[in-house]
Amino acid sequence: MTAAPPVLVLEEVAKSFSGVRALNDVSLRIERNECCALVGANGAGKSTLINVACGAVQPDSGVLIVGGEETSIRSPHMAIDLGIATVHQHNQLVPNLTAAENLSLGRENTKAAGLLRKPTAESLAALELVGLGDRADDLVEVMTLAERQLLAIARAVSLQPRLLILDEPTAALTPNETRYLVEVIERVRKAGTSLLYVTHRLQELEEVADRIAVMRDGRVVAERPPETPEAELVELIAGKGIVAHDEELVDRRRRRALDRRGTGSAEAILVAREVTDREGAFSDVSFELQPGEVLGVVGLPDAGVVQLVETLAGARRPAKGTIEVAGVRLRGRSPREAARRGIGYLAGDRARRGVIPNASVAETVALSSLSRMTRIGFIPGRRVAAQGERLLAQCQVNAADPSVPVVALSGGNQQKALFARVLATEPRVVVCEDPTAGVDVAGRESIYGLVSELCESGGAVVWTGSDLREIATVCDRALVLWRGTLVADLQREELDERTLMLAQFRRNVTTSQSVTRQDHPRGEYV
Amino acid sequence: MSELSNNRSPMAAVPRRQRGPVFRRLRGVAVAPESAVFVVLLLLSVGMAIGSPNFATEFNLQNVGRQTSALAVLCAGVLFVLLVGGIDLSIAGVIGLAAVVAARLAQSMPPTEAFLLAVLVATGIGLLNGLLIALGGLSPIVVTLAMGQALIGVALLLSPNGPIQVSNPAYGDLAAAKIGPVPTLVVAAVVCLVLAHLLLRRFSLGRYIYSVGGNEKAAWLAGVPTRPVKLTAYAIGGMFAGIAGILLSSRTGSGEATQGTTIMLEAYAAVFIGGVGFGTGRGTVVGVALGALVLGVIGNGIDLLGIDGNWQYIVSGGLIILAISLARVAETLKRRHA
Repeated sequence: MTAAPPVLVLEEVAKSFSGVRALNDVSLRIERNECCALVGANGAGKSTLINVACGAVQPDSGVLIVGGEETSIRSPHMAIDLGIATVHQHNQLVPNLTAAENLSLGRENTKAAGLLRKPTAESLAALELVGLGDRADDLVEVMTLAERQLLAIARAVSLQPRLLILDEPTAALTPNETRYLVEVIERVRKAGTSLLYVTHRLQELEEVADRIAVMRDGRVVAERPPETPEAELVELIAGKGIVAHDEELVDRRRRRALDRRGTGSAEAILVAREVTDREGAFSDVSFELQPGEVLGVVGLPDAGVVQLVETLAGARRPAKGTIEVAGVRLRGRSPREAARRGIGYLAGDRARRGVIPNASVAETVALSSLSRMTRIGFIPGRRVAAQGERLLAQCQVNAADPSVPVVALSGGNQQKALFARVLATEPRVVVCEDPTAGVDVAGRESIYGLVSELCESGGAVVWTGSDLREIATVCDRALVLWRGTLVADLQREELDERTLMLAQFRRNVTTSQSVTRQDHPRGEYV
Repeated sequence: MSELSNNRSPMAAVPRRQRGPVFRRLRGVAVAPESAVFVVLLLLSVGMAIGSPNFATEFNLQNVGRQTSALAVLCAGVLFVLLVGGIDLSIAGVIGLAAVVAARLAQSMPPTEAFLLAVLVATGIGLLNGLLIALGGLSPIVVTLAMGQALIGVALLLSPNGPIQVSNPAYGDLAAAKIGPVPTLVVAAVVCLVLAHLLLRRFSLGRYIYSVGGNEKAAWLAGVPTRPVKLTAYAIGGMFAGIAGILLSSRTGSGEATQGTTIMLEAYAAVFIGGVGFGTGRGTVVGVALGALVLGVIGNGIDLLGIDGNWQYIVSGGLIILAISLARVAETLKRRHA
């Protein structure tokens, strides 16, 4: 029908990462001069889809058609040659160069002998387009986040792409900045560029998008016009309500809850009162954690979940508010201090924040508890070895030999070894970030089991992660954050994947326990 | 690492083929970078023994030992600092200052006390480096380079009439005396190395040092007191540099402000030859001691064979590049295997 072929077509593209399907035969087409919005929950496959389109990830199967020609995009460089430019969420700008220098980075306009020329009119035009015309000579490091975002867009636009992919461009922006960005996007589109706009913020879509594609479980499940009511979109994102299906886990959870009721009102093991982040990631968060409880904390990427959890683990000092563990106040100095007060921390991003690559399995397990075992600094070899054996067995770490490097283990076993490291400090509360990321099914089961054991012996767990189904299954209760504010405290009876999803988007979770706040501290752009 | 390797694994029913702890241990030794250095040392020594009849004599070996002692001690100190991902370029200045301080003090007190005080001063300087770097967050290269400059200045001011010759003959005893056939210098160095080895292997400090070098962020999140650990590493680095300084000073019987400049470069050469990684948290006392011995034997060989002494620098420079290239190749092979 249309004369010009669509700029990008994906047909039944599939991609798995170590057995987990990220893209499940996804199909999507983006027409010329169109702004297609892509929405979906965490883990729906949006990032993988972007990565396939920009050449960072190679699909396992499927067809990619760019401008009417079937092709494969083997590298980011090739994507740019094909006319696909991407602005990633954490844009790659060089802070100690000026805006103009960043704009032409890698494509410097040079005279003979490599002498740099003045920036060309075209490159300045790109800056003009995003409204940074007068900032060409400013260093990136003095620019605001919004300006950097605009600069990254200008840089992508100056490649003169036919398709511009924007990954969560408004995640860090204020309402006014967002409004301006939407205008800029409109200008870019008028200049003849198609857009793929990935976002969590459904409110912007009506202004920005021509069409909204909803992803779930690795495929596009629906396409809707921009005027679609937000509620309907959230329903599509959440999918059918999935009730916790792991009967055994649910059973254990129920029994724990009964136990708690039986013992009457147990003393809270962890109390947070009006905790507020230094950088404004969250504010006035208060809650209590009972012994035997698994508390989920969920929210969209800009909700402040990560920051809150880091604060609980002692890795981030709050600006105000108090956190008490069994009546003792946490000073928020370091994870070491938190560990002494009884908080174990299983940090997310195992490779960068968990594993120490030059350590053996045994050393990994012993690291956090060394100071409680040593005598004037001397490591009692036998005791440490015995503890290690006990914990490795308890956590079912499948390591032939505790003296092998921990990095030689599979992801799941590494994670279990890290869990063992946490348990070695005999924590009252374990704070874990996405503990089952990149862990196989068997490994997940043992981690769930460890969590249950901990709770049955009177401990408690704070659990975050992107897998809402898992949270609905594992947790007894869940806190939902929305742009830094605690908006819901979901009890066991109302805890399912769908409710969590809706609550993340702050969609009427009509329950008695929901916290409603009128005076929202951050800007309203709803 | 070594504590647990003797014990049987708790996973009795692991389907993977298992070959006894002895085999694993031997294999571990065979693939360690230290083994490669040891082979190089062995080949060098055998070559020298064949090439020169004077090499394998008691007198000459004692000489090699004396020449290498201070270097080996200095290497142990450098190792601690490199393991926490830092670098200490002030050791040249620390050596000079320690030598001058010891020599000056020895004029009015027993040499032993003078030595002790000099080492104390050196440790204090290491501590200061550590404070500026670990707590102040300053760049290790810049801080220690500046510190080294300043210290040489202080040492020069403390010895206005040039190198201080110590009149007390007991000052040189540390270097001249022998216990049986072994020079006291060698004994002192061995004691230092054993101490360093124990600190790194049997004490929580050592574990913490390795973990900070391996992944500082992860170590901090796991409850390692990363800043005090780095601070201590610099202090220990300063202490060993001070000990190296008094060993050198005792050998020459004098205190000279610029005594440390060449040996600092040799120490870095030796640790890299000995398999220490820069910012990887890898390296052992055994490795750096072997690295120091390799340099010692090369220096001695060049003397014995009557080759122009300046060749030593070229050879050791070449060896460093060879050593890190081999490490790189081994790493690539390991990754391809995995």
